[in-house]
Order: sequence, then C-alpha cells, then structure tokens
Amino acid sequence: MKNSIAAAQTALDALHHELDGLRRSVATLKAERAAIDAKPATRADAGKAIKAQLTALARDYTHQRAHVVARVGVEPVHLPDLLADPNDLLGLLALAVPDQLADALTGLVDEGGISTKARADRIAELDARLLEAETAEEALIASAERAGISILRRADADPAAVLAVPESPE
Amino acid sequence: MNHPKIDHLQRIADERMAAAREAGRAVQAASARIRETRGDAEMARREARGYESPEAERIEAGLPALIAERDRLQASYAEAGARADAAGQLLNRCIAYNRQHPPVHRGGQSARRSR
Repeated sequence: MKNSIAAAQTALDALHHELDGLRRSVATLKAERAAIDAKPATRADAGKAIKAQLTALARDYTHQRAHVVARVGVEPVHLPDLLADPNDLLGLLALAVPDQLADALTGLVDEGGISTKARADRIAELDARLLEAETAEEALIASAERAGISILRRADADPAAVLAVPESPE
Repeated sequence: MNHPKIDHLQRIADERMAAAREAGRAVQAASARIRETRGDAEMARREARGYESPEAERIEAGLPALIAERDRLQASYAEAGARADAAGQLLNRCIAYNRQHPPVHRGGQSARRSR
C-alpha cells in the first residue's frame, strides 16, 4: 500500500515536472515572438512603407482639394481652407516635396531592424513551435484527466491546440 | 452542435463555477458566525451592566480562531474564483475559435486551418 502511494506520488511529480517544462517552453516561445514583433523594421522596409503612405496622402489631398484650387481666380477662395484638415499639411508636403519628405522620415529610422520577410518567417516558425508545444501540453492535460487527475488549463491556452486534442482517445 | 471538447470544457467551467459559489457560501457562513459571536459577546456585556463579563470574554476568546478560519475560506474562495474565471475565459475563447474555424471533416479526421 505504502509502495503504491509512493509510486503514484512519483508519477504525479513526473507529470507536473513535464507540464512545467512544456509551460516554460510556451512562455519562452511567446517571449521570443513578442521580441521579434517589437523589433523595428529595416530602414529600407520603413522607407518603402513611408513612401507608400506619402503617395496615398498626396493622392487623397489632390482628390479632396484640387477642386478648391481650381476655383482660385474665379471666386474668392480662402487658401487656409486648403489646410483645414490635420492631414492636409502632410498631404500638401507629400504632393510638393515627396522625396525630401520620405528621405527625412526614413532618416529617423535606426539601422539594425529586421526585414519584413525575416520577421514573417521567424514569426511563422515560432507560431509553429508554439502550436506544437501547446498541443503537447494539452495532450498531457487530457491524458491526466483520463487518469482522473484534474489540471487547470491556462486561460490563455491556444484554442487551436486545446480543440485539436480529443477529450478521450479515439 | 458543439465540439465535444467544448462540451467537456463547459462541464469543467460549470464545476469550477459551482465550487467557487460553494466557497463563497462558506465565507458567508464564516462571516455570519463571527457576527453572531460578536453579538453574543455584546449581549453578555449588556447583561453584566457595565461590570466585567467573564462570559463575554469567554465568547470573544473564540473570535481569533473564527476570523482565521474566515480568512482561510476567503483565500480559498479567491482561488476558486480565479480557477472558475480561467476555465470560463478559455471556454469562451474556444467557442469563438470554433465559430471562426469550424472543423472540416475528412474521412473521420478533422482538420483545422492553422492560425
């Protein structure tokens, strides 16, 4: 009897040890993912994104204000109205001096960022490893439940992993 | 029809909620015992009409144990509440996920899109 209790306790300790290990892996992978996510873009990628935004701002400005400018000389046009919207100043600069503006903004970006592709690849890799670790964690919890041991699931467990593991063996 | 695993998670969430409610009732009962004990001690003091009341002191001597028990139950209640919350949160997230990614059954196997 004493031996059986000791064996059950050892098995329970091993279960918790394995679970702790998996949960540590999940936490580490999540931290790595957050760190990659928080890294700045490369100057080249930031430059491309800035140019795309400036092009859109210039287009919007032209679309919204060209008809007002076209009335100058025909009727009294109040020029400050061309800067009535908070986006108008940037829109006008994006229209008048797009390259200088893009260069000035891009120059504010530090070197040493991560490229869009490298970020996406790394995040996809980390997501795959996270799903694998969380599925292993859920499999362990489900197998413990089948043995009558109740383990609290994390509230932030990935539903994809939780639902991928059946409640009972198929 | 719900995903069988969601039914399982629902049962767990229901059990944990019931356990939290039970723990809450235990705290209420312990608090009531403390109020009753204080009331009894107060009554004993009134009956002593300003004189020392060994009866009131005897009754009050039991208060620290009752308060300690109430505090212990309060901590259990907080823990049971946190467990119920965690189970409820996960259940809700799984229900939302299951709605967004219904399982596609292929030859008895279910496949889901990855995140």
